[in-house]
Amino acid sequence: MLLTNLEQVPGKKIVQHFGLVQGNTIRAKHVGKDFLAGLKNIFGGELGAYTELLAESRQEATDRMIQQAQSMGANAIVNIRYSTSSVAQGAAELYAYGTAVKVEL
Amino acid sequence: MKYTPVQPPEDINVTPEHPLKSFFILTAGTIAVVITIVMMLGFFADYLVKYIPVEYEQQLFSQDGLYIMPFATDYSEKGKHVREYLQTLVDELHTTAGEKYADHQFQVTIANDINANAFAVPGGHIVVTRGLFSSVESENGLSMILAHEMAHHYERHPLRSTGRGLVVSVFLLALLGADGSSFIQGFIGNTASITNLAFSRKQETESDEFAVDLLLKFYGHASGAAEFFQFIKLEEEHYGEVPSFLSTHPSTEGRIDTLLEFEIKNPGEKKKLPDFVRDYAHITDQEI
Amino acid sequence: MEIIILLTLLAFGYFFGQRAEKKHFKSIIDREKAYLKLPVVTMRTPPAIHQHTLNSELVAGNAVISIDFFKKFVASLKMLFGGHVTQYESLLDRARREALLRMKEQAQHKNAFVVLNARVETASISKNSKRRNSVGAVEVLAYGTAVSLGDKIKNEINS
Repeated sequence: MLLTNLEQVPGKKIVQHFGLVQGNTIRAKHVGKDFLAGLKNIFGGELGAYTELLAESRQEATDRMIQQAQSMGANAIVNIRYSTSSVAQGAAELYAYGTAVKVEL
Repeated sequence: MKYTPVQPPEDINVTPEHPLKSFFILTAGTIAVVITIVMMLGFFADYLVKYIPVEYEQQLFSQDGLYIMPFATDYSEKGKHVREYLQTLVDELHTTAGEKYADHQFQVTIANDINANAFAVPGGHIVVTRGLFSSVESENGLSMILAHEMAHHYERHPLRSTGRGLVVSVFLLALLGADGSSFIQGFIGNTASITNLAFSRKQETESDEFAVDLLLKFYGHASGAAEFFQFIKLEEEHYGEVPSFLSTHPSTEGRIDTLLEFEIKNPGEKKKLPDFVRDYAHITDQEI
Repeated sequence: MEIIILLTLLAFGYFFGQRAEKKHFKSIIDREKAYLKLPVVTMRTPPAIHQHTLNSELVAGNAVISIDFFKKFVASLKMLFGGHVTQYESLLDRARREALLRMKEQAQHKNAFVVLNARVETASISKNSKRRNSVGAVEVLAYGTAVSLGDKIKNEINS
């Protein structure tokens, strides 16, 4: 699956499109990790565990979006956008969306 | 289009300033602003109290004033007897205080608490704890405490403190909201209360001066004035003392020195406490 | 007692926070210099290159950076008075540049010669979202399309 946040695939021609595809995950923070993050709130610095957790979750959202596109018979997703929102205390939604297309290979 | 790699300079998106500088400016600024506002509001509350007549205060706090105290009052037979004795003493002292304070009325209550203490509660209430009776040796010592609490009432201190506390809480609530950062709330709240403590210490000193004068007028001498404070001093030596600027009261040592000086200048014979009052100091909880 | 806790936390926050920040900025600047050759642009038009096929791929980088207690305390005081809250500037700057660098690293790894349509998203992650003023940490996500050269196109077939 070809992924891009451009409106076209550079050097390739879009022959067919299947409309919007999307994927999301909602993840809550782990208690243990949260505790360490609380400590980090005093000292400052990167919250490595969170960075990883969010990257993983975002990958999961992307995978779900890809699944949708595959089921439609697309071979590329163009104009992909990501968004993050906190839906509840301690939980975040990661959302990915784009347009599923078929390109000439 | 040709790409020319250039690294932009630092300090454009991040203000180049020393973090400690803004810390000191902001902390000092906050403390100064809080102290100024609390003092201004305090004077404002003090000013308003002048316009509340004593009768109105007594009506307002007639019964309910005591409900805010965190302990039970003593209604036993023995307690009643002692209470009557205290009430008579207070009334006599009140007569001695003179015409100027004629609109005041006092109501003595005994609280069932073994720590030696006495409070002036809005509405002319004077609350003494059961423990107080073991802290003084003579009637003079007891009169000193009662006169001290009466002085608080004469100067409207309970109402002024209540008013001051009220305006300051309203100010803090308006400034911080109910859900500010807890450390900021603590920091500003503490600054405000330390500011208020200075007023409280001033009130205590004023009341000491008034009380010892009244004692002199009543007995013709000032013996026994320092009794209670000497007892408190012993307790402090045992349990440790709060630093003066963090305390609602001036340092006990300073108070004893001032009062002892007064006692030496105006010596006389102390009056013994009546036996039933002495006994009352030693009764057990079961007897109440 | 309370004041001792507060001072300790402030001292810890200041000491470790400053140290971590200095170290981080140094590493960011170093890596930025190393990746300076790779352009990241917000333009969406692919470059006109006819000699090669183009491979494009989504690349992303993210970073969650927490503020230290000292800066947070000073910032909360600042919020009472209003004005520039400079205390948070370095936090956001660090997070953005770190995320962009991670994206660039990925792109470099894929032999890209440009990252097109770069987008930066910022989300605040607070430990306790009930509290109004609590920005505990920020997450920055940077993403874009990395374009690399593919096979050489034979001119006689395609032009």
